[in-house]
Amino acid sequence: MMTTQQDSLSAAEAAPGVDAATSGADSAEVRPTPSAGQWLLSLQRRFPLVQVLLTVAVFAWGAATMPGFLEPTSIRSVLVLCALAGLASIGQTLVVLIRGIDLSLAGFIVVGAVTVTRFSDVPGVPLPVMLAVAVACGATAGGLVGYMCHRFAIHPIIVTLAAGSIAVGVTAVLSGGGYGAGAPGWATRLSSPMSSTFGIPVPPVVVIWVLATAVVSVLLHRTLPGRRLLATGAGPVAADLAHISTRKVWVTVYAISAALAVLAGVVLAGFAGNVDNRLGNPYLFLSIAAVVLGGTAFGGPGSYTRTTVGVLLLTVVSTVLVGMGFQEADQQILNGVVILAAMAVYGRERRLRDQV
Amino acid sequence: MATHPLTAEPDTVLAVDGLRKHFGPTVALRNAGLRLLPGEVHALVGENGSGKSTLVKILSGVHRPDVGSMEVGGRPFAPRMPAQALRAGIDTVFQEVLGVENRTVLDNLWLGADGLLRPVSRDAGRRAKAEKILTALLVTPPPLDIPFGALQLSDRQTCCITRSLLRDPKVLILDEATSALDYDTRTRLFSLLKERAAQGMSIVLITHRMDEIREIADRVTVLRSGETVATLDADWDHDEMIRLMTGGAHLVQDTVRVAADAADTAERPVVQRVRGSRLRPGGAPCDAVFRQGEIVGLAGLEGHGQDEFLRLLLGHGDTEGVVRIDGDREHRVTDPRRARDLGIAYVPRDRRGESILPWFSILDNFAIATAGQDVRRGLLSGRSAEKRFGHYVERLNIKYGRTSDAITTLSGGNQQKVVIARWLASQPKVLLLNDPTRGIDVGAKRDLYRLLRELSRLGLTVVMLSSEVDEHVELMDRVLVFREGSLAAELAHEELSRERLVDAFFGGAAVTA
Repeated sequence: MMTTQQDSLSAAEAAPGVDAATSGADSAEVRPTPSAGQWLLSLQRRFPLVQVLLTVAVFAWGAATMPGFLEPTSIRSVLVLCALAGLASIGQTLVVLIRGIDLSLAGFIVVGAVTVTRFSDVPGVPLPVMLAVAVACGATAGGLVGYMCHRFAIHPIIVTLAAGSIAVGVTAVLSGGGYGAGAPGWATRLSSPMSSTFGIPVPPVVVIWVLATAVVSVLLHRTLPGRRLLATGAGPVAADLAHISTRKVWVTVYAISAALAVLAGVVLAGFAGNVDNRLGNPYLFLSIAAVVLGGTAFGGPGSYTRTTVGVLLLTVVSTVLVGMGFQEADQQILNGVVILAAMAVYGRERRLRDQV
Repeated sequence: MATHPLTAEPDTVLAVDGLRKHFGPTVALRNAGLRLLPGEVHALVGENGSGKSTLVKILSGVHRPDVGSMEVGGRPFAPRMPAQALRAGIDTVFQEVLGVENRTVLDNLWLGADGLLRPVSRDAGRRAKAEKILTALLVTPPPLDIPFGALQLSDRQTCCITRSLLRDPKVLILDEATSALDYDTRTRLFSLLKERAAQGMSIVLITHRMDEIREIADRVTVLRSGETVATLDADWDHDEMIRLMTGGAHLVQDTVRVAADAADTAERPVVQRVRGSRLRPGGAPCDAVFRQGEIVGLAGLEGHGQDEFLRLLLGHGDTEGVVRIDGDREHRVTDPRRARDLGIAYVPRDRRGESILPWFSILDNFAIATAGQDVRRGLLSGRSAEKRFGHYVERLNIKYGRTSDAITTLSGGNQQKVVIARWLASQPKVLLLNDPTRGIDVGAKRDLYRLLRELSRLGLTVVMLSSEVDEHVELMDRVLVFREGSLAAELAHEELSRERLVDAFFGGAAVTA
């Protein structure tokens, strides 16, 4: 179907308005019906289809080869693991979308965890107040990180690395070196695979995660602040010139990321039982891996839904590997390979042909 | 239209036939051909999206064609990467300045000349050769030892051209590489190119400027919709050329300008005023007024203060004397945000770096500056944005597939229209544009001129920096000419001509503002 420009222009004159412009597509552009392959490719670009299929396949494999894999308890455990990684990855997703990265995540997770294990019974200070203070401190520190990165153009790797280290250190000093006896019962119940939520036989942390996914997705893609965040990542200078305060975006996003990490730490303390200063480390890795694997690029495009898919894939794969008797070292190797593969698809710099 | 038989003349340097290339569903080249003779300057013209850049990228080894034959000096030529094209003697300077910012100018000029481990020629010889060409091109050539990144845009592009000239290729392709050059450098470059052509180098020149083609090209090949439609000799006719490029559809009267009545303009209220502001420390203070509904051009050689002046109007720099006037109320324009609130909108110069959000859709790119209007019960409404965008699609003649397509699927001209629509949607009283037609095709330019005219009739004040002399002559009610960092002259429409304007650039007699 070759349309000459003459034809398309006369068509445009015949039907003014939006429709006209649609039919008067650019002179050299012809849109034949896309083939199935092209359709799938464009779908993959908008949605992590391959990752979803891979997750389903690995899951099916686990179900077929491992007895008890489909037991409700087993499924609930997997969901709890997903929820924990997922909650820890919300902030990372937002930060990556504005072209940043957050290595302080692990530190702020420890802050949250120690708050419940060590400071849950400080006389005269009720726990909710204590938690609010911890979250506020985290948000303030995170906001400062975002400000420093933006104001002084320092790479966030450096600033967040320092901030995470300081956070762990300050927590250790305040707690006098001890990490407390363990998490209180309510915190444990949040993530125990056995517990249920208002009668639904699903652990609360999973419900929280599902709700958080919905809220974050709506905030990110359907509201003005979310649009500003995405614009800041897509084109920092253009966003600035469109009167978006990109500094405010950086400060806010890093503050949110740190605050959410503190909250994730609270849940993790309940899950892990005993806490030390390395509690957050695996989740830092997981959060970055999940974001990248889901197909969110630095500066976008991307979404938290994609990260969710990344989390599901990583968790299902590692569960199946553990079930098959692989050691942690094997898993680490596989995780690394998986990240490289994902980077090969999504993370590359623009090629020469797009630049000239 | 025209078919190209595969019988190349014996002395053809480069013969290209039946080239076809598609990117996904988009057909960029349908049937492109080109015959290049030794020692000729051959212009390649066509609207944006006609396939010029794709053709050049194929010739330079960036893309590979789907179908088609290419021969260099009678031998098959199929470069798989830019280095292979270079080895075959085809050297391309792209519109985007490609250099290593933190290496020296000298290193950049000889970029790619060295072997992997050691240099091929000595430093002293390189300096001499580099200096020879740079002095031929620039009045004040930059020192060779400063970092490349410290140079101005025009000088950087000059260095890129110099780099290619140093390699002395058989075929030199300039892909809109002259658009960033200032007037003086371009003139010098053209005489150097003529000299090289006389020595046998073949030059392919891609440009949107008819005056450049008229000045230097021996032959012209016209592309339309990915197809070579004609190759013309130097005595081409302007209307014929436009007809070939547009397929007749754009053949409207040459000037869209309906001159605003000068007497009438002078009585209109002043909407923005600059008094006593300095563009640079130590520069002379500038005074200027802008009236409702006029189109004012900012002109001058590259880097002579027009950029600073435009930024001043936007609220950057010495804004002490910059005010927006609304009836009898005056508001100082203290910073860009205040400027926006006062109804001043700005369309930046670098479309890719400063305007568009690359992976955002066309609609989201349009709505980004005014998205607040689309909030319904706390959520952004796509329908509301769609509706607002609809107002501008027809007026700006924006051509697109779907509003949900990425902005990068559009040609440069259409991207620019979306950006302008973005700012018009904020319903400004003063619209500042920084060289908005740079690198966009004739048809899109026409649309833009017509639109600006219409908007000014409706009372919008347009202040537009342009590096194109013809644009000032054709469009502007008034032109402010900048020289050496200050406002040097003001030319009213009646006194505007190419000659007067260029004369003013170089400090010639003109009415001093």
